[in-house]
Amino acid sequence: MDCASPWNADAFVEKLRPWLPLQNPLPSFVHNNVLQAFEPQGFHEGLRAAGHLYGARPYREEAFYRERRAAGRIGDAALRAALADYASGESRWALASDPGSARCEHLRVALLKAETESPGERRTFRRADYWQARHGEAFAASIQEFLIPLLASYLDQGMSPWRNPYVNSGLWNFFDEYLRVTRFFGRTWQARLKAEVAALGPVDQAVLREFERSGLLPEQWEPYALELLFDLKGWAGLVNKLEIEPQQAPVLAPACSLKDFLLMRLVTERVLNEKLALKHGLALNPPPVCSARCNLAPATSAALSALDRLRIWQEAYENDFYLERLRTLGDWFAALPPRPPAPASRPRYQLLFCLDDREGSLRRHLEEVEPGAETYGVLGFFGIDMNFVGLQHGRSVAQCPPVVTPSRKVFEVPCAGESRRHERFQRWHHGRGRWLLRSYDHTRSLARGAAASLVLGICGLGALAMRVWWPALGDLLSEFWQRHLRLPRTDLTLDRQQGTDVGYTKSEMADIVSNLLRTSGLTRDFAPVVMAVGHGASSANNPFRQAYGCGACGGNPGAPNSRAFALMANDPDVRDLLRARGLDIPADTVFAGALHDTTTDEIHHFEDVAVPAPLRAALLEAARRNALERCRGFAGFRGNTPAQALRHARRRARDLGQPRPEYGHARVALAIVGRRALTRGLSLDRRAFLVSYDPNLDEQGHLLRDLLAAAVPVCANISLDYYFSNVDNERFGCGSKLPLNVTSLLGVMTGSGSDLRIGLARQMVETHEPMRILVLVEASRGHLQAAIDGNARLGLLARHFWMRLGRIDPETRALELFTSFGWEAFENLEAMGASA
Amino acid sequence: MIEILVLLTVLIPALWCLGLGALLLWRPGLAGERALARITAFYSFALLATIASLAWCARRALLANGSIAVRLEDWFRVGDYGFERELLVDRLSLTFGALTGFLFAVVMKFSYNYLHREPGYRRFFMLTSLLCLGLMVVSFSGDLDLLVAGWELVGVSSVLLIAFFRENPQTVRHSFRTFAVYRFCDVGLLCAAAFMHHGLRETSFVELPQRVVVAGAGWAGLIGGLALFATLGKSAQLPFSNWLPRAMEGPTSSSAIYYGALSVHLGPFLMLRLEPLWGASLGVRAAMCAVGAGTAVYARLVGRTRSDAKAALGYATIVQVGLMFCEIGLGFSTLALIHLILHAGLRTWQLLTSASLLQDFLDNPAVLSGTLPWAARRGPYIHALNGFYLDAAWLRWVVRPGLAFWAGTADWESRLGRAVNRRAGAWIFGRRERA
Repeated sequence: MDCASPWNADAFVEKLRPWLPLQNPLPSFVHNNVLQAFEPQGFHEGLRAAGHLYGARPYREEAFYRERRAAGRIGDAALRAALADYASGESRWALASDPGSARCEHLRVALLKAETESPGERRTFRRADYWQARHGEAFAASIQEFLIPLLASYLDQGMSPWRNPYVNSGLWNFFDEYLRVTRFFGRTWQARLKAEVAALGPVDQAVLREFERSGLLPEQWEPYALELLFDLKGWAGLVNKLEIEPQQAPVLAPACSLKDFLLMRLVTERVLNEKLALKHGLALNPPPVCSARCNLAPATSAALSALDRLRIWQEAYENDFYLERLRTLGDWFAALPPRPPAPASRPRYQLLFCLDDREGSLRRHLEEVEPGAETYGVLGFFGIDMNFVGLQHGRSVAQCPPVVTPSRKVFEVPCAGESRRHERFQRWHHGRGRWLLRSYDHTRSLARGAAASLVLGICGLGALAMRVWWPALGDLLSEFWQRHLRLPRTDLTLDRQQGTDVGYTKSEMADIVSNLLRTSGLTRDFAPVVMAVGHGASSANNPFRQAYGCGACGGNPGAPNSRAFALMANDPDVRDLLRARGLDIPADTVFAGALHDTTTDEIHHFEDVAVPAPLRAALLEAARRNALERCRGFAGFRGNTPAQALRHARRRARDLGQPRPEYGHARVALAIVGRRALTRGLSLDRRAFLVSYDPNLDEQGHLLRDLLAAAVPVCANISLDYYFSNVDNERFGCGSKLPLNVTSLLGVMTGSGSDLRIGLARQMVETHEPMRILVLVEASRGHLQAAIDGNARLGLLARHFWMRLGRIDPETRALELFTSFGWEAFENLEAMGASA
Repeated sequence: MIEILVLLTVLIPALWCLGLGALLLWRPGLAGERALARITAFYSFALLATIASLAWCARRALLANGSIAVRLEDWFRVGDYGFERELLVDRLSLTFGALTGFLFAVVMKFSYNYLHREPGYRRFFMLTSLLCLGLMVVSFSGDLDLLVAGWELVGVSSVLLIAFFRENPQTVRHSFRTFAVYRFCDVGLLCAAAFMHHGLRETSFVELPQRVVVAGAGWAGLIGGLALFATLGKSAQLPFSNWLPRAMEGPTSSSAIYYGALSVHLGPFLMLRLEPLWGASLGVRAAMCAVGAGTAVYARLVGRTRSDAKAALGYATIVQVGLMFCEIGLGFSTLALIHLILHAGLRTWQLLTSASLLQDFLDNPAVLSGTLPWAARRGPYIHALNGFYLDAAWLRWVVRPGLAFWAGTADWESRLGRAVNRRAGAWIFGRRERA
């Protein structure tokens, strides 16, 4: 710290920001890589560093891998490849050669020798571990119990009937004022804190002063600050998020800054430390760097450290899957006819699905039920980056991937002539909403509460019996209501309105449509009906609904986008523009939108165009079969017909006590970008994102570049989110769903109060196989390489192996894998296997 | 017939708990999830059916007499004094028993799927079964001694379920806090039982008014006051209110049945049960109203600042239970009973669906962006956020001095013990050694 450049608290805090968990508030949850800040490091190095920061295990426990090994899930070839990779320090994964070397053999013996994991020590700046271990003082708990209510109250978005009166004055001001007003009895550490905080100056200087008093060297301040913030990582991350992206707040972001939070944390840490030191008659600062028990020992055996062992196991676990899948795919591709046969007749239907892994099986079933149907996988927001204001919710939601900033606003408005029905609907809907809110408020107050419990109690008892024993009855009731109170027919304000940010111009619409169609390879042989199918998920009593939704629509249902896309593509002016750009859509082709509910496996159609009955029937049958495929994985399912499965899926979604309405993206491990002809008829077991892309239509590789930049990070984020929540559910994920407690409309805590939980619940990820995703792209090497080089995030993910990248040659369909030596043909492996 | 049915309402849960406990101890492998769910469903319906048939059979007698007492075997008899056991069927016991049976069945059905694959699946069912047994005993017991047994069972199962996720140290801390409050207040109940034996000669609830007349108003007031004290803990009334929001640590379904519905309403139940005893005592009535009203206002203000669903609902429950105390104190017992039943239904519903709150709020057109609730005044807000320093006061004036006192007595005890041991040892062993 030289005097020439004064220490700057803001610059310091900026350096901390990227490391914090970047999770949005739950209402706008999107999947992301928890460790995105570590991506510039290699996967394993990043995991190692993050494991230290989070105090978490970055791989599954060794017993998990051993069990898989015993069950034959980790084969010899995969293990050999992992060992060779480890020995050489390179990453050729499934291709790793040189299996016979002495070093590999030595490693193999060391790895297979059973070794129990022993908890190790790690160096930390936190005093909590010291006080807990040496003196049995609940240091961390004292601080958490003190700070969490303050944070929850300050950040609250309207769950408490009284708003915090300090929300506009800043977090530190609130803390300061809180301490000033509060009375403390006796000589507690909080009383001491009150005196200390009163003596602190402005925030910036106070932060510096606190660091100086911590007794640490300036270069240790950053790790120290991070460790303090990571004590309450969820809350710290949320404060950070609301500061840098206040629009993510569900209602209104309070004025909060990470610097304030850091100061709160620094001063509480120091004061409590001093108080405890006084109590135990110790010197004021117990050794600041103390060791703590951590989950994994850094080095337990001479040959391999515990983390290295797990790293090899993990690689072997992944390799086995990749090997098996790549072999199967290789065989399948080899068996395909060399050129896709020209369609004998015009296809009957073409359906654009979201690339989501859950849609893969529906597409397969649909093609089975209706061989005249062609399906395509596209990003489920259909290229429409809008803020959508629906009739029902009346608030604006971003219907696009989180990396895209919505450019336009689209409203859902009632059609002409529907005003009476609309009014009735609004009255009823708003009335119901107000009633819900008020009843929640009234039942918690005094006299009104008494009256409300007398009036509503009988409803509560009735509702309990009904919803718990006969969830189907609720269905009937809601169906009755919907029939009785038909929603008004609506329209979308898609047309550009001058001077506002509403709507798109015709040429923008043509861009959106042509871009999507060209990218997915649908440029000729249009069927009479082209359907855009978005997807969403409906489930009862589930704070994680957003995580089950369409990732490409920011977790919201994709209905508005599919509908808007169909409306755009049906617009005669847009058709003319498209024709001028060489995309001739026949006049008799109609575009339609639809929504697939991935939980209930229902298909909802829109009223804009009449969908032919055979297509409806085919979709229904496909959805039934899809439900059956899904339900076979549910313990509660007893039937064996598709119709029973559909009923079961619906009941599951309505069941209040069902923590697993569906398994979301669990088990996803594969992404295939290429023509559907490659995978049509092949069952990928609902484990693959399927993106349609026709390399023949993309001579420059621009479409590929845009497609990969949009689609692959979404896929990688999802797989990494599941990976981390699965390997250490308590620290990277949010633990069991059962004790979760919705807080401040922002997230969930465990039980009566805890850190704000990040990641996914155990019930969502328990069936997942923690692996990095394997992305196979049907493209020429040059195009693919250019796409990776052209996008920073893609480059990081691919080069540092946060995902595995492979290539399917458009001409020969040979497989190539991206290794640390560049592109290598997968066939080498067969040769290697023969030589070994 | 009625006798058999009454016995069954207590015997079925008791046998069930014994059987389930034995099964889980010796052959836990037999109790797989599905088997356990099926058999629990059967049990809960059998119990509901028993209560329903009891209500049906007893309807005439109840309309005529108001209550039916079933004498069990005396525990023991010395001279003309007998330690009597009794079960009692009346409006109160039937209502509370039926509520218990109904909510137990609902929450069990809710939990079959809810706890799927949870490591403590069996433990959960065992503990909630204990709750059901405890509540059945409390509802149908005809004397205070039997009631105490049920009361304790409820407390024990409650404490164990708070610490259901026992790998989390916080749950254990909060469970222990609850345990301390329960035990502290149970002293009141035990003393009440002892004084009933002493002053009224027996603890039966039958013919209480006559025996109160014989014993005198002093006894009635004393026992009523002790009973009131006993209820303060279970029902989270002042000055013990703050354990309840902290007890929401277990699975949501257990939080709902204990702190939304059944366990928390045991206070009003006990006061209603003993109303013939303390009914004439103006002091008890006044104290009860004061406690109830104070708690209601207190919890209402504190609850206004709580922004997490379970604490907010916890305080809301305390408010209503406080009101029930007021109603009982003012003599509106029927109203209090109706209030109790309906409130239990409402709160169970709200707690079980508390995970929906995010959706309820954000899908709601009435929550438009930018509208936050009314901003509170600054000072009062912070005092309310601090729970009006109730915890701090407890810590400062009861817990710390209490711990210091016990540490001191423990110190003295050990010193005394050592001294006595030395002397006695020398006296006993010294001689023996010499011999």
